[in-house]
Amino acid sequence: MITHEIELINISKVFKDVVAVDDVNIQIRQGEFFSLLGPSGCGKTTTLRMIAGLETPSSGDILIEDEDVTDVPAYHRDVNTVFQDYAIFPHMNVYENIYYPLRMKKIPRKDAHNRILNVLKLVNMDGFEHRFSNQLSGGQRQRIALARALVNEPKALLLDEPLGALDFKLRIAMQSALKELQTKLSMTFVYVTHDQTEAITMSDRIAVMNNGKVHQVGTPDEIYNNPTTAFVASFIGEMNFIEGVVTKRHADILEVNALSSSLTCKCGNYDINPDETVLICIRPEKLHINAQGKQDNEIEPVLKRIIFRGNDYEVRAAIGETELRAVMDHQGLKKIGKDSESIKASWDIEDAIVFPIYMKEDLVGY
Amino acid sequence: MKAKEKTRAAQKPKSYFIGVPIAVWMIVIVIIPVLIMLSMSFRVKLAPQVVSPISLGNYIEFFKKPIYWKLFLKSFRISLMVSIVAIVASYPLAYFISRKLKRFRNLLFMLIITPLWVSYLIRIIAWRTILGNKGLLNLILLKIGIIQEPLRLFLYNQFAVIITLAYIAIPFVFIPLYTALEKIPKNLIDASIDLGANEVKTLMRIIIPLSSPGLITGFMLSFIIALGDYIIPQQIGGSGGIMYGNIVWSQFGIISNWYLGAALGFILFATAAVIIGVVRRFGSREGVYM
Repeated sequence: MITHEIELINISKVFKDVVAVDDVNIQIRQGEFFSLLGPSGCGKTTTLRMIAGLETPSSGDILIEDEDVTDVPAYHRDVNTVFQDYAIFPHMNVYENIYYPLRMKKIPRKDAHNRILNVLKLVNMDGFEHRFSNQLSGGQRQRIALARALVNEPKALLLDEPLGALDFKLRIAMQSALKELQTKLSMTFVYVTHDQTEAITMSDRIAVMNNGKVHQVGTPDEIYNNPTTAFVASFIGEMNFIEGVVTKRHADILEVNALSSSLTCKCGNYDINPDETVLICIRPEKLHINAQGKQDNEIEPVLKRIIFRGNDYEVRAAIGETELRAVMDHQGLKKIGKDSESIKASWDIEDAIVFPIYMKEDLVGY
Repeated sequence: MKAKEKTRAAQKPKSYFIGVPIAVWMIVIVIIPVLIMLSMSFRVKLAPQVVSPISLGNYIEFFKKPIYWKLFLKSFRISLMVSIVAIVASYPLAYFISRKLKRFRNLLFMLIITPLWVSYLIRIIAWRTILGNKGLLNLILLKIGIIQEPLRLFLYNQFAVIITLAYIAIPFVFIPLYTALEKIPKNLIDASIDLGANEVKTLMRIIIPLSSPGLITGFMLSFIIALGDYIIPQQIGGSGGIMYGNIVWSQFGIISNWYLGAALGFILFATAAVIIGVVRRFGSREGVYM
């Protein structure tokens, strides 16, 4: 019984003086769509390349199906990669490109022929056997790269931002095509992306990385609703941040003095005590504007701007230096009177997360 | 792409003028001299100051006398060897410098092409001192104790000619090889290894095929440099190292039969042109990387 398809144990990678990957531990289950998500330079691609065998870890072990492959060269590992710019061999046509990995495995010609035709059908590229890379569009090259990586039926498919070079519409179409393919093959996919929407819509589980470290591993739901670090909170989706000082603590309920109000929050994952400075995080869609009834916390920011975004509106407000954002639909917008300068913003205690202030330096875009 | 270029050129009639200096240059430096040589080659020198009207006599002479065509074939063989030696010597170097080295890349590149700044004749004389009787090579072998007496094997034979010609050709082979190898995207090599090919297979199936434009250009340059040379065979070739270029040269010198010389020269020129044409057809798929 195999416990994990791929397991990274205390993996680090140091390039000269730069720590690209810092003590990463990840377990990838069999048949899951697993994403490595993070901003550029966070070490996600290096991590993927170490799984592929194209980089050697400075320390730590890599296991594929419980077998230690740390010292196995890439050409003997049973995983294949779809590269960012597809890396289709320009001197071979589509057929020869896909035959290449089969030839390396010494698959008999006739057997190989059938497998090539099947895999081309799988990616909807049958009939393109004799085209060369420069006769294909970006999306078609992507499919050929996929076919070439799949033809040997690897234990896991590694994808390095495979949709990054495609335009928006095609990217959306390829996202569902990839997900469908993964479900159909029930193959383990390890997917590197910096696009949080892509990761959230496609993945079974996500590892969020920053500065070479894994911040959180979890389902898209867990990552969005229960971020464990301020970085994850700020990187995934939109987030309001309010700074405040803890005045009291009763069990796990904190009283925080922020924006000249007293706010109540739940303590969460970190042990926070009175007199500590904290960051309170609230999703824009959880911040209610001029809501009826009593809510746990209420503040009165100054309305700055209302931005029409097509299907909804973004309301921007501020108290002093602290900017707040909320999302409203067309109906909700009626609650804001004309020319009103001050509004009420409120939220439920369960909808806010508190982090210690030292995490502020990790925040993205604040 | 090509159609687009054509229409663009058509919209800008001025661009023709840009080609004028090149056309003038080509006509004056290349086409007119070749035509003069060609017209001379069809006349036979009967006696000093006496020349026949138009005839194929010189060309018949080439095929009738084995010394000409045998030497012609031998020159081809030598040139082929020179190209092979130059490519075999340059390829690992170009591969290493362009793909493996991160620092000192430009410095090494410059070092390899510095011989081009030194006079051709001086470099030939340098090789004489290396290969000669009391030369560097013999000296080293004597010191190591591999030989007891200096060997006469190195100089004044075909071996010396091939080595020296290859040395002259190496920078001209190195530059196109380096350029071709440097252009290969790293991702293609990663992909090859990822798909199950080890380093040797990747070299054979990806790197060498993708560097073929550089190989072809390098081959052509070294082949032509070797084929037309007559100074190196004269200086260090001895009697065994004599090449076709030497007999062409001698027609314009001691023998003083410019008409035969022109015919012999034209045969060489035409054959070289055909070879370039044929090799070109195989080669250069520019813009293969997308």
